[in-house]
Amino acid sequence: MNQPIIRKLLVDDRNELFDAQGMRFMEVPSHFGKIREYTRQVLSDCPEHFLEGNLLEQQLSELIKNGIKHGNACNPDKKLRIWYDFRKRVRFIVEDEGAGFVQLDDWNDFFARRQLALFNQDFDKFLRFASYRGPGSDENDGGNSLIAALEYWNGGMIYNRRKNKVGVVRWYMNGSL
Amino acid sequence: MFRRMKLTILPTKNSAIRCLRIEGDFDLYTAPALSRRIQETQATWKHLHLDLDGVRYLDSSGVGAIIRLLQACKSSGRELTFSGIQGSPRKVLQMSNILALLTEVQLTQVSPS
Repeated sequence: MNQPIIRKLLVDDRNELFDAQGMRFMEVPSHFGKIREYTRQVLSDCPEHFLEGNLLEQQLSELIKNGIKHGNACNPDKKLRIWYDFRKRVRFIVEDEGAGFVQLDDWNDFFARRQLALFNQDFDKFLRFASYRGPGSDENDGGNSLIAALEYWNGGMIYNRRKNKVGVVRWYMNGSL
Repeated sequence: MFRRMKLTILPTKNSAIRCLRIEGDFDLYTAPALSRRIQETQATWKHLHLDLDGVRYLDSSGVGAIIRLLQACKSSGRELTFSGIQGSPRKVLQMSNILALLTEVQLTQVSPS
């Protein structure tokens, strides 16, 4: 019987995606109004062929937004730490000072049901599952950033055990510099 | 530095159609206002068309606003169509598995301009 392959958010403290050796670093206060500005700062000297229009900017902005809004509750006294590396591929580690993404298992369950509805072409059900709503969600949350992220970060997307730090990597077809 | 969003009402071939052109960045800062403005006109149309030809940046908040519109139109029996989805906004909708749910038509089918 056909079953869809459904990706998951994974937790692995020892994953190589958390090895920050040689990566550049930036620390910013958690100002919601500056999320896109911070993103542009990190990407200011990123090689153009990694940008893919503004797709990389959009995906990094989501990681920063999740850290600032959901992790640090937009408290400017709390810092967001960003490690980044543009050598041959794009890697980021983003760490906030919040309690961690405690709904991670719930999100994986939501995503599995969503993708199963899509696989079964049950679009009514899929539409009900189109956006994730967690206890910390508000009316302005899209509820879909992690869905696109799992697709975009093609080399992995890993959380630490405390779930307040995420490591991601995207590889490119012609990424050698 | 960032392109703010602009919303324009386009003329339509039928008074039951509301045709809106969105230009600029459809993002975490502009999506809430867009949702509110569309809701304000909700009672007056049977068919909403969004032309996204001028949108160059779409993030999860913009996708979320589109999903809420899809859900609202479905529950109220209204029609929702789109045109001009291109570039990275198209890719973002694709990665979110939402693109396949959207009904895309040529802008000229709903607006004479």
